[in-house]
Amino acid sequence: MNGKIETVFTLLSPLSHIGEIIGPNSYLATQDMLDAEGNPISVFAYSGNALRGMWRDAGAEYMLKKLGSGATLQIPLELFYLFFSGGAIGGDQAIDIDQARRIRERIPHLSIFGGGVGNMLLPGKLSVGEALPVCRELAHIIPDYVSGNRELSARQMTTEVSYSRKDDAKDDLLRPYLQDVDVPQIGPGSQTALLPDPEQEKKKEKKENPQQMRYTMEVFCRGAVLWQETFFRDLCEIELGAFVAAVTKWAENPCIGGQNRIGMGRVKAEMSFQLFGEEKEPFITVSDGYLLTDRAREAKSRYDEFLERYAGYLEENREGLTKAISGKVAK
Amino acid sequence: MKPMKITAYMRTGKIATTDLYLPLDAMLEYVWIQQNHPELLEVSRSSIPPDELVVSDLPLEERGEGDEWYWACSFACGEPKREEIIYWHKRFDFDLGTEYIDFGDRRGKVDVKSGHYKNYRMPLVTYLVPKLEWYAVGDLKEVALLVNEITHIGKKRSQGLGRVARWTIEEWPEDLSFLRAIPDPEGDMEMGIRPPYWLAWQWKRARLPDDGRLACNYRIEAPPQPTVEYDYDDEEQWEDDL
Repeated sequence: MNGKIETVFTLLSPLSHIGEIIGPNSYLATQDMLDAEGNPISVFAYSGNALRGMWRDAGAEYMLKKLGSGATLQIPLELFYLFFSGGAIGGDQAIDIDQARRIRERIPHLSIFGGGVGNMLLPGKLSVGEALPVCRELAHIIPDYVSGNRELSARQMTTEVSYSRKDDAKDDLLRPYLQDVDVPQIGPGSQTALLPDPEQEKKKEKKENPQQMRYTMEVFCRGAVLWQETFFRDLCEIELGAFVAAVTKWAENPCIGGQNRIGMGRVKAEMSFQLFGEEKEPFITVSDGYLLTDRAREAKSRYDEFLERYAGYLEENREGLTKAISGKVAK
Repeated sequence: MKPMKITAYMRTGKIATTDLYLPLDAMLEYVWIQQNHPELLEVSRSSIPPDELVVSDLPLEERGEGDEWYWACSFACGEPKREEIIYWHKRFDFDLGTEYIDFGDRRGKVDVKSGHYKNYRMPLVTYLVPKLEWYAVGDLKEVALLVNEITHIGKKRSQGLGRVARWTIEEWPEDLSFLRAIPDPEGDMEMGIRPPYWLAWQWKRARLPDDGRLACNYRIEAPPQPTVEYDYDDEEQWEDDL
């Protein structure tokens, strides 16, 4: 099946997506685009590559958890790199279309996100576009049915937040936990160490990187709306299920961008599904968990059944995944 | 077979390409292969031996003679507004690695500065183009069916670059399909004259018309430079200011 999935992200917390760093300050990534008159403008955009990587990671995690039947299935480094980062081209495996087809059949996750296997590059089946903010500059691009403020400039939707990194070594209350390098450590039977030269120590201190600092991040404001399109081609039901599974795994912690550890990038996501030439329909809602429509649920259950069968096979053959990739699995 | 003009109106205008040739017959061939030989798209190739090359049956007029034949379809015409180098990143995720990698008896160390697992910050040349036009001679209806299957053009379509918002196809009074690489023994470069254009063994000596309508020949106006009030390369002025 060929079609597209549209996603509308609503930011529930500020979004950090760094494009440039100057000193301790970071600034949002912008891209040149065309305004309604066809003139170049620079507007914030959340990169498609970042979204793709995020869903790829989530999809690989889902697959390995499922194949591990509850436990985490650990895999060799090469496979990890292939599933989570897309692998790299190299090695002595020749181009083999039948082998490529078998890999796609056995590992739908790899089929949709693509990857390099030996000398073969398996193209993915998704085109994950950048997420564009609903704003004045891009009002001519974003469909009318997408909510959000079209009167406000994207530049007015950004703000700066500053944080301090404290040097706990200089905190007197924490000092007792720090080994004092000024006092020579003399063990029984050892020689007395020379006391450090105070002048040298001062110079050394200056050379050390300062631990305490104030840093500032430009972020996209909470409440802003981003619109995004993901195109797919030649997807089968199980592959669609692999994508749905990736989204449900991501929905366990629905964040985009950086600094998630301090609560940034939390989103609500509304996804719709459309086959070319057909009507658009609701697909997945991510907000404090996820809600699947019938189509999404059916596709995911097909994928789950597939993975459960494969998990059974892996129970008996721990090398199964590696062999599926290297072509040693029975045809 | 009639002359026609095909126009792609871009969504954000961002296209990843180094040369701006963007031959439409190559994109039409991709769609044709998707429809007729999908198995060939299971894997990307860096070369195709002559005996494995599938020649598509496009609804376009064939031009040229013998092994120097080509489709009557121009390269992209248009006016790029800006050139920008953007970067995409590929990095090894150590957090996930600690959870999911089984190093077995090997040392659990991954070199991300070089070798197989190297992290990348890859530059990508992009152009900002509101619309691109191609001129061809062929069966308009059949071409329209193929063209409407194209959602993205250029490189890095997987990251959403080159998104086409809509296509228009119309009859055109003039045959401008010559705005492309034309085989010519006196030509100034070896280049592809038919899809797949990247396939080096079928490159021919060819010439590209020196025509300003071609996007690859278009000169982008440099953005206005700020007025220089202080020229500190000038030592005297530097000293005066001090």
